[in-house]
Amino acid sequence: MIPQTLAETVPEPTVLVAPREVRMPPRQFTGVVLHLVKRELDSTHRLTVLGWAWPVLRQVSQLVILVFIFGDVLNLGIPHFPVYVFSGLLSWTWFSSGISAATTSLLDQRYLLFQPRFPATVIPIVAIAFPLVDLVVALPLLLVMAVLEEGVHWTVLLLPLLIVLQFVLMAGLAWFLSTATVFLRDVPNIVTVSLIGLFYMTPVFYRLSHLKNTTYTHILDLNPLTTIVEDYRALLLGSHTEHMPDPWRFMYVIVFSVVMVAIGRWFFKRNAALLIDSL
Amino acid sequence: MLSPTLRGARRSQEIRWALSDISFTLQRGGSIGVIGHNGAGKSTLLRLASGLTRPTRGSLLVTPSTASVLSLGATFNADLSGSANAITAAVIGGLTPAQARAALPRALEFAELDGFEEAPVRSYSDGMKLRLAFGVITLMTPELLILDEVLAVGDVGFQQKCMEHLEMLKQRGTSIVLASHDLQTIVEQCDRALLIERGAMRALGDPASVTEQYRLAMQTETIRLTPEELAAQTDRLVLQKSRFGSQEMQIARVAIGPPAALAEVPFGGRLEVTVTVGPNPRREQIAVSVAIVRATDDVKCIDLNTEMDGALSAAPSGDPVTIALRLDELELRPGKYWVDVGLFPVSWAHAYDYHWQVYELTVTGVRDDEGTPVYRPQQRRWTIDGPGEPA
Repeated sequence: MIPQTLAETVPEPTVLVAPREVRMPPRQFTGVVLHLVKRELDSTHRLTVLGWAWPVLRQVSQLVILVFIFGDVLNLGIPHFPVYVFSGLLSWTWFSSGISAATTSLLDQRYLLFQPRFPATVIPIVAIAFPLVDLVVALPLLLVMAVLEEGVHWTVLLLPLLIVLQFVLMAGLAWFLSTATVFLRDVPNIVTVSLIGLFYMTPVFYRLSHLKNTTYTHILDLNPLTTIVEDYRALLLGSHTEHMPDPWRFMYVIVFSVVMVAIGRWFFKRNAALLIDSL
Repeated sequence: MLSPTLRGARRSQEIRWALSDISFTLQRGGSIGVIGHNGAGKSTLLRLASGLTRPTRGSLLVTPSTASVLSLGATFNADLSGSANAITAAVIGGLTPAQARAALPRALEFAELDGFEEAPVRSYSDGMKLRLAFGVITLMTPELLILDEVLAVGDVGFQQKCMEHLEMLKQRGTSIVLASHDLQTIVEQCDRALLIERGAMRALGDPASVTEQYRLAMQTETIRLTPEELAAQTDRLVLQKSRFGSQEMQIARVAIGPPAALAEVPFGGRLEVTVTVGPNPRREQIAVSVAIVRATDDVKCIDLNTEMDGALSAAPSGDPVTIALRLDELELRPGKYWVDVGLFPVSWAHAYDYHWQVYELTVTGVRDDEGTPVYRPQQRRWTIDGPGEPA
């Protein structure tokens, strides 16, 4: 991005060769992501007394609060409420902590951008992969709860596919937001505010059918997380839930995620060589 | 509602070039030393050479396989062990995790951590961190290796080992770009040197003459900034004659010899130079230099500074600080010498205070008039005493 005045005062450039473009085979890329996630885990849990119990405790405490408020104080009348909330909460927590970490990931780990052999695209991916571990650790607890409540449906085996879909969606957002943050430092604030709003616009602790006004239902359907959260439940509990996965809404989420990942990657690559000067 | 700085930045149309009109090629197996004051544009050049940033104008051809130590130590996680960090650094440097794990023993062996491999890096000294970072570098055989002042910390023996490794890499066809304030290293290690001043190329060529030009430029600037008069003048220190520098900060006292001696050291004996640096109200980072020059022919036999040995990296508090240099075996031929002491800002753009031909040193012993080699004493140690000395 050359300022206008500068472009006028300087003669035309000669051909520019070889800006940084680190190409890494997908296998090695995955290996690097896993290694860095593992390092993050090591350093996070090494010095805490409870170690691995913390991710589960964090999510359970949030569950207890939501169940108390919307199951007791303001009873929404949803059967098997703890399982209902927890299945939505796990997916939501991954999304929100992953996206907020990814947004500032390039700033937080700027030193990695100064390494010529290191592909910068890894950095936001590590940020979203790290909180996925929390989900995986808490998943057995959710399964036990579901079994005790009403039994788990076989479709739970399809859960990994849904996780992949959510990962793709988050990767696109992560690449886009992390790059945007480097150029405009207001982005993390915008993301924080948006995530607070988005939590209430995602049926984590309520049902879509609670909405009297169908306009709202349609607005909420635009939010890809609505479908993702509902489908987590549908896969876990099968016919016990209100909504079966709707193929059209599911297609919408797939298209949305693929488009998002394409935009995010394009935006990241396009600006990769300018990142360092703005850090 | 926009914050003032942002509005200012948006409005500002003034353009300052970080670098302009710099042109050089580096052959396979060649090496180039980059010198210049801090802030002259060295780091920008190294980033461009690593392919990390694009020049606004001009062309740049960078090899695809580049390793750099611009900031390898910065990737270390303080809570994790040295070996865990070494693996991660190697992965960041382009190895696969499996390759990195397999190569770990070689890196650790080079780093000589003496049993601290599994201790958290938090407990490491700067020297240990540097050794570990360089140990990781030895795992790679890049086409281009970029080093930024990394050899500054670490003992002389280790520096020697690094130099030997670089020599081996060069013979295998690796090109090296080395930025340093240690002019001696540039002269010894590089085929050519590039002097950058305020973002422009001042000189490119033979390392000995380019480093000399750099020294001269600094001297000229120092003389220009030396004030005419100063409130408290002593007989020995006369401005523009034996005392130079901007005098923004001053050397308050210099003591030479083993304590309470007559500035006389036997051949092979121990020499101590103690420099007391006056108040540092702006709490700036500073560097202190000690040079020993033979009185008969002005040959600079020893030229050391705190920065090249990593002895004074952080800014001390505003109070006076005492910096002592100890050389254990002073192998200078018997005769008369001058000990020149200087105080510099870390930009090295000029001297704050430089005492020239003020302090005498006599080396005693059997007279032997063979030429004195310019050498770097192996056993040297800086100690820094002062209130609020940084941890």
